[in-house]
Amino acid sequence: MKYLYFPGCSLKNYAKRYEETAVAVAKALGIELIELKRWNCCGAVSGLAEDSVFHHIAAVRDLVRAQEQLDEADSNKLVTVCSMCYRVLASVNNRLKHNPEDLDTINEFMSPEEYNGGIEVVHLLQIIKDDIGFDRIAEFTKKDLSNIKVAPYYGCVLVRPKETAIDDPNEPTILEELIKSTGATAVENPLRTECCGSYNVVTNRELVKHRILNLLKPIMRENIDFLISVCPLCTFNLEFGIKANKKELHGREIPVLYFTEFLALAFGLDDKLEKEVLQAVNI
Amino acid sequence: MGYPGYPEEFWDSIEKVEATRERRLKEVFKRITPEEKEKLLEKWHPDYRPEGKRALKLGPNKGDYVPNEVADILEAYPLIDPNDIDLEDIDYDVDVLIIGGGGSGAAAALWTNYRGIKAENILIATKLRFGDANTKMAQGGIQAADRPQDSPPIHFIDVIGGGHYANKPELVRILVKEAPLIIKWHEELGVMYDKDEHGNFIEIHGGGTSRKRMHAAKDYTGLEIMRVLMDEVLNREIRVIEFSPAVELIMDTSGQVAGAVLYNLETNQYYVVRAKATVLTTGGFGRLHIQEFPTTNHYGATADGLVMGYRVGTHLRDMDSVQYHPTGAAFPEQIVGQLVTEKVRGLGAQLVNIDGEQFIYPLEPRDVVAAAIIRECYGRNKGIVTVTGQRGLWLDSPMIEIIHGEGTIKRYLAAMYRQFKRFDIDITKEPMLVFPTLHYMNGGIEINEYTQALNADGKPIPGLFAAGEVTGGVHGKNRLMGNSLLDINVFGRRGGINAAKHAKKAKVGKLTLKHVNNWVTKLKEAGIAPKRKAPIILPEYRGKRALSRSINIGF
Amino acid sequence: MTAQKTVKKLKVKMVSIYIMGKEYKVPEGLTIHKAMEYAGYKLVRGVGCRAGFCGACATVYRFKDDYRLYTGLACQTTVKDGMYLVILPFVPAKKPGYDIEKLKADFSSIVKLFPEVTRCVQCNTCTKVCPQEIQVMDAIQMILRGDIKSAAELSFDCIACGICSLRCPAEIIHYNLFQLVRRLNGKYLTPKSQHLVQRLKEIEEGKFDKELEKLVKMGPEKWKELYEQRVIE
Repeated sequence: MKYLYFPGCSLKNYAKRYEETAVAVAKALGIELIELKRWNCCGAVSGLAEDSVFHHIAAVRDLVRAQEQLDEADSNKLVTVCSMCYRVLASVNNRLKHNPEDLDTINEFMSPEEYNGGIEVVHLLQIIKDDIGFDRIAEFTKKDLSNIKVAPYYGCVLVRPKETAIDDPNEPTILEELIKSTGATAVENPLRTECCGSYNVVTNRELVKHRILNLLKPIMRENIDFLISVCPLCTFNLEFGIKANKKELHGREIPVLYFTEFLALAFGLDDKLEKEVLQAVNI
Repeated sequence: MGYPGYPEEFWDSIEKVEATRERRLKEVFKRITPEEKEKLLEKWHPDYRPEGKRALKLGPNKGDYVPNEVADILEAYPLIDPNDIDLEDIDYDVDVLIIGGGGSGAAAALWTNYRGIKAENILIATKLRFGDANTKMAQGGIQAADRPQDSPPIHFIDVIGGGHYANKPELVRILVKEAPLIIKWHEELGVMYDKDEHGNFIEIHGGGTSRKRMHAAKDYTGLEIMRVLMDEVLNREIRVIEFSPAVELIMDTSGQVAGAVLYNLETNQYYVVRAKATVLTTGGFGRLHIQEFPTTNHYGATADGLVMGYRVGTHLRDMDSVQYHPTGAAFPEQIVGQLVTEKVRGLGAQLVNIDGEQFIYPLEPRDVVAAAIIRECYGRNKGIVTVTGQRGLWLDSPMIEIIHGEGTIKRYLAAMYRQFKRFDIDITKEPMLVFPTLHYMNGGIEINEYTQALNADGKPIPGLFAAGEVTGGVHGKNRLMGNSLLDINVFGRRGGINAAKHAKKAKVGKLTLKHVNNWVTKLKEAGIAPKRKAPIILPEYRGKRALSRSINIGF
Repeated sequence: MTAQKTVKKLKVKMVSIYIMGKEYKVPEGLTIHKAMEYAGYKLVRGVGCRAGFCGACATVYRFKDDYRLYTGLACQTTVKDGMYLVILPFVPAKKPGYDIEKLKADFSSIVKLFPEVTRCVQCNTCTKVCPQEIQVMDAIQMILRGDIKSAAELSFDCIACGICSLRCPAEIIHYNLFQLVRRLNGKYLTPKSQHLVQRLKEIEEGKFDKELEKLVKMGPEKWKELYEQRVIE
């Protein structure tokens, strides 16, 4: 299957490993991700401000780019990998689909470009679950992960608000199901949808440090091999927090893997993983 | 169907061009023999029209034949009255003054600075904005013999043959030998030349070259070089004063050139610049419209440097020859005369007449191709005539897409594509109408290997250096494509280095404009009426009616 | 409008244009530059190469009952009836100095010199006004994601007319920023030519000196002989 794909800025910068493995894993699953020829930042948080449709302009432009390139794909789905990009693009898309007046307003500003509302924004996890099926993951898994224990971490934006949530906002299970489908064990993580501290890491590092420590406390008793994340910012904060709390965590440096890195590992795509990651997980 | 950008009366002929295209793709038109070439040039090249020239009545080149338009500005009275200028009150006191803000000027400024003259002791004075010069408009490329199958001696033969053996050979030697050094300099500065994935330059032929040595940056080669040099000049905080052309050189009582009088085009005040070394990089004369030809040149190309230099005794050479670029746009009217780069032919487009037939090998030297087009239009009547009476022939650009693949034009001729697309002509599918246009001043101020300006006896005029189009000798009587961007860099660099060397030891005495007074006396003796003034600074294009009602009430 | 019509009407039809608010009747089909000259202006500012390469003649214009602000180059844009226009004489812009030898081809080098690039709100106005039809905003976005090579290539046709920088709500000076990006790309992200290094070595060793000396002294007869015997690659 061919899908249009929106990478987002993080995946081209400090979260390169997320993209590398996402594309490799998708390919292994028979999914061809076609990166949009032209795309811009999704607009990040300003795209979520509700007061003015103007804030959505960046996201709409990306939807227009997908619309322009639709003939190259097999479906109208635009695949995202970064959870923030997913949240922004999906929210904006929802709003415009349900509010034709807003769509008109924004199209008037964008003129001569025009969005017709025909794109569906999805996350790669949804494609794997719905279009491939978790029951088929075992077919692709090359490694025995039966001794591996991992903790899933969702963060906020993939499962909130409910309009764009890819799973139950309070009790999501999509990551757990994915983990189990590879043969590994998913430990119960009660704080898996709590916020990682987000952009506070720029201005208030102490706050983020404490928050990460609190997030990790409940799972420290479990002897987990690594954490699984879906978001570049969550991953950044988790990695920062784990280092900053080295003393409090008794020197334990728990690796944080993107779900795509976890799958790449399971599929035996070791060459797509960064050396540091491979060494850290040591499977 | 049809061709929306072209009037219907052209359509038949365009269809003929299309009909013969497939056959012509395999057809190589035979090269001209030396005898045919001589005949063709003599009969059809504008340089050979005796009524286009006259002998100079005075100065270092007295008796030499030059185009009437050049004689007009050389035999002209000064703009300023020396008595109005207070030479004791100096506005800028510098080591090196560079007159002209094009490629030669920028290269000279940088190399003067590299050789130890501090940025604050260098001044670039320019007529328009810094960088508004023919350099920016050069599209096709820059020559340098850097591939194993090529060499500086092979380049030498191409240059001197193209120049009709009239070049100054020691200058040609420098041009070809220092070319690779210039490309290296550019590479280190970050000029984005077209390269393959291994870093090899993509090099093609130009008119008159025997090896592929044309380095290019799409068809914005001059723009790319100019903007990088400018960026570097600005990074180094070298001073630039814009909209302030030089109107007269200043000398000192010992007879050396010691600066210039600048004129602020906006406030009408003059500035006195005292300099230990002065470099003339004022460019050529396209805007004099020799023999009423349209021109590819920028708005300020009025040969001010020739005028100022002549008054301090510089000798000019090869001024009898003018370069007409064979392919200026001949349609639409709005862009008549603008350059259609030789690269179009370099990439395989042929020149064809109204019947879609070739009449000249497309990569003969420029003067030969220009003469052949004029002959085809006026001698054989095989050209298109537009509503305004402009004649032209087809340059079959769609061949490029067939030879090199779809997308080649947009990738390597982006500027050209855009130029015509603005007027509904798609050059990937339709040919362009072309006719020769005034392009380059082959001759100019004579210099030696150290870029010192020479007088009629062949001796250097102390303190005065010159580089680029304002000089003569490098290209003889006809410049090849890609050797002008090279010239401004090679000799701009030398100008900078030698000016720096000179400035370090020179001492300037009492400033004087006596040579200007002397010039006026000579003009009167030669019986020239005080009607014309020069330098002309900017050409006159104002509407006839507006001009006829123009009065100066000096408010 | 097709060029055909333009030329035919050139001789007859006059249009009204408003140069900085003053009405003049000029022949239809002239470029803005030529129309201003026809009207009696001697151009000094806002004019350069007159062929679309130098960026000196950025022009903004509107029509009477149209809120849109149009942009173009005065040397390449033809006048239309009812055009209210001004050629911009100058665009103020910051141009930070740098030593290219000491920079790295990465985002942090760029953002230190041009921190305002991160203020891009992706309004796309820059792209809409560009007379060279460059996807200006896309190039800015490429810089933000660290893709210097693509930004350099996408911005290559920039002639630094400055219209985008005057319209940008984030006050980015696109053309100076792009200049830096292109130089970083040319210098650091493009492989160097090996032939050139080899040739420079040969020149330094004097490999061609004797032959060139001979050529210089040869004179026209011999040159002619050699020229006519050339083998064309």
